[in-house]
Amino acid sequence: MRYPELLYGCGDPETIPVSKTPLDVSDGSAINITNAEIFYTLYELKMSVAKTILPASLHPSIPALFSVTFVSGEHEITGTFNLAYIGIACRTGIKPRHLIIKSFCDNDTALKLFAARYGFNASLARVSCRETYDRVNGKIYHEDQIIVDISIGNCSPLVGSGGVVKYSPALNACLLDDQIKLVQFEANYTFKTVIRGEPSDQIFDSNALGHEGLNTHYPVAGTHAVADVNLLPARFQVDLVNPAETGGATKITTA
Amino acid sequence: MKFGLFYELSTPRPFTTENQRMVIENAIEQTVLADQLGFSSVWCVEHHFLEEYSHSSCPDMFLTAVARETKDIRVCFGIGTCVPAMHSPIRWAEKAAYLDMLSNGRVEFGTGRSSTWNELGGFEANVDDTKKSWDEYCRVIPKMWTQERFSYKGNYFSMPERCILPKPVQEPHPPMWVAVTAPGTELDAADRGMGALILSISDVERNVPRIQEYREHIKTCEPVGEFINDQVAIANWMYCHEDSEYAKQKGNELIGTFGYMAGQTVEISEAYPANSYKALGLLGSLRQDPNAPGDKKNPPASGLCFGDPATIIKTIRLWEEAGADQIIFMVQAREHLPQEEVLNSMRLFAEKVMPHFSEDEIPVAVNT
Repeated sequence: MRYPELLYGCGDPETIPVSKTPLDVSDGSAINITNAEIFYTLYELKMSVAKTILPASLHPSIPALFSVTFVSGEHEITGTFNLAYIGIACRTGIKPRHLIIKSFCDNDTALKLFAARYGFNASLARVSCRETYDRVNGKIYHEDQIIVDISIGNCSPLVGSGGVVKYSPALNACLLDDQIKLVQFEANYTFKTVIRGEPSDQIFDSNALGHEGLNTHYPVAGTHAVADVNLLPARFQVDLVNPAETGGATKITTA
Repeated sequence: MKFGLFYELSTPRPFTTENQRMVIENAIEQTVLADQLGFSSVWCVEHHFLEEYSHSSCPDMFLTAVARETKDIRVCFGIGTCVPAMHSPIRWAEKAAYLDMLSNGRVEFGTGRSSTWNELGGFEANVDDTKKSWDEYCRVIPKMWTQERFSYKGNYFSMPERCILPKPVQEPHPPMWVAVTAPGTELDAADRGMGALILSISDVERNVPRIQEYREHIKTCEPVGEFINDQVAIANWMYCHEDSEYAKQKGNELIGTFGYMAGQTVEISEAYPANSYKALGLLGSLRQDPNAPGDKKNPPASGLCFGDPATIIKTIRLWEEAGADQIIFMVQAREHLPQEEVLNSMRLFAEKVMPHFSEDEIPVAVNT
């Protein structure tokens, strides 16, 4: 059943990249990463573009937004890793989330871990995130070409940042009990430092990212944070096809 | 205790001419009835780009229409946004004074700064400075009303000497208010001698300490205007029906509709992290996912006015004891209720509830 008076995604669910790795929810423990770096930038985009990407189960945010996130850290299982992902802001019901449409990781062990535990469909790629004296820069490479090269400059510290910075949970399309579901990737953050800056980009190759309509012409804000991150086990799933009012977010049941 | 109405002018999709007109015309009809029934105020928000949630981009125009259709009810900006990218303070002083003329001295002027990226981002406003510009606006607008000629050099606004016209009818000027959602803003209101227009969830217990703190602080205030407006108004919901369970069911539907609409906005903290927006505003605090069992659910607010007259009287007594001076009701959300039900609810409230709170306790005549 559709609710034509509401604003829904109208993207073809078949075009949403799905991780081939079945989600493993048997390990209910969290993954802790000390002193992780999170570089996050947010941009406005055309509503018409957001609607063509999001499936019917998600409402686009108003205004339409997308984010580029870099997470760099070290964990005993994976060693050091750089993960980058691009998400379209959306809602299931009234809860803000970001649907991940593309992700990259530079560490094969981490890539497999993030696929199994959180449904990431990341490509193995060179990813870098670097803080310099006057800016923070993130790069994603694909086949020796830089496809994303974004920075924040004119940075200033945010005081009391724990109450200021908020990352909406991400949604990854993956296999859960042999069905394609959107699985929520969420974390708790204990912030140590946060700076906010003005995003700018040298390269944002939307074709390489698979979505021509995406562009960074209208940046909103960018932050770089150092935080202890507590990656929660996958707890919620969202239907891929049914509208939020009939599908929505439900708790993942473990056998 | 005084009672008023509060309008967001929420509008159902699709945004046809018919739907948009229906919302405005129904709201005006309600205010005309409210004036006849003895409600004391009509408040109207200013919002921009908030699809469905609020199509009230021009509260001055709505309030002007109300003023010309009514006799006694006060017409109140709830609020005018004090952000340079959206308005000059000169224009607010002019519009409020003009409406004071057209309403023969019935204006109250609420101030605020917006809390959504939809609005501040849409106007490309400087998010970091909204609290500071709001403070400056609060201080200059009363002077524009009371000084024959006014000039000013400030951080967010400056002007050479001019005579700002018209001057308001009310002497010395209309009462000033502040919209209070984030904790602590009630103290900002008190310190400036302004009324506190509390727009957070209508929970009595949570608001008792806020009202007490407000009363304490305002004793030592430095008023921005010519007088202290020591008033606390509580935004609330009301649906009154002889069948209390039916009323509560309808009330829950109104709140659910409101929450859903509020969920469509992007709070500043979700988009543009800023020290000036640490606390979630009203909209963000409403964001609970009804389908996610793990999400923390707030218990129902204790001060909502849904029920039969006896139930509502008890609830209003709680607000009275908490120290509220007036309660301003939302009576509709996205035209969820048929107009006649809204009007009947208002009539029943005026007939059976309001007399218990009038100064002379004389029942109000009701034309049913």
